[in-house]
Amino acid sequence: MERISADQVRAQVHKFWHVLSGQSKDSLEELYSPEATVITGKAKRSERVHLAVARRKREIAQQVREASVELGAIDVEVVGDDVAVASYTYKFLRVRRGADASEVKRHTPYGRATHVLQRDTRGALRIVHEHLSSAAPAGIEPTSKG
Amino acid sequence: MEPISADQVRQRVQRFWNVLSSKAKAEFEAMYLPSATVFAVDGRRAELARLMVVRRARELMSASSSVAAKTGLIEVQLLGPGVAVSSYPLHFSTTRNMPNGRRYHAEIPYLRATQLFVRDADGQLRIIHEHLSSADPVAVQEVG
Repeated sequence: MERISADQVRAQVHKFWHVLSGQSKDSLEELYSPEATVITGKAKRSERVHLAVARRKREIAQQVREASVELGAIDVEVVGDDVAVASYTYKFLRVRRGADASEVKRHTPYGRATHVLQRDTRGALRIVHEHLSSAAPAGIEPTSKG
Repeated sequence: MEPISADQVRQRVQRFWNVLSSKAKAEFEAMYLPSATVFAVDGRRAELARLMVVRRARELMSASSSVAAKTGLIEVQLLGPGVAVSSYPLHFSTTRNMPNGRRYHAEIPYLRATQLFVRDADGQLRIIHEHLSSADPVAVQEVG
């Protein structure tokens, strides 16, 4: 099987954010290994990917419009032939519908991301571990429409 | 070379925090590969581990500083014979000395850690990437 390239990893990272921001209808599950673990948001420990995916699908469905995302330089380290780690910063802005139908804006200006990816038996790159965090608390505020 | 086992990774994680708490700078530095990168708890971007080690040594390994860490369940994913990723929660507290002479205490009850380990040519497990973050905003207070 061919060795993972940094460009392949970066392409997979961009695909992840396109799906998460609602800019792509590709399947979120397909990006992950079924055994993947995820640390994100205010979770106190890692969780199984199927739980994180279910929550994110709800969040994407509640989006009023496409979220905006801006990625910093993606540093890629290939480990052996079939594992790679991508680390980078990101800015993420999402407006979604609250429980009372108001619009709520969530802004993460100092996001930090680690994605560990591995080729599966069919050669596809999958995320096996993800850690998203913020160097500063995310800003949450009602929009002018809220 | 023997494949990495989950127990070896867990032991290495425990050793890592013991080494930091006991202020063993040389051994702490040797926990990382020279090319390793790190997201510190409050860092806005990743940095080379060797730069982080210099800062942690200055702030956390002096006589009047202290570090305490209590790890929770350490999850290990074996990604091949020489690669493993660990992820776990921990309770972390520090008293650090800053360059301006002030001392600060931080209590982080919900720290989350990701450490990617590889086996080097000498057979040692070393960290190639680390990501530390807090589930809650970190409260820091100045101490006398």
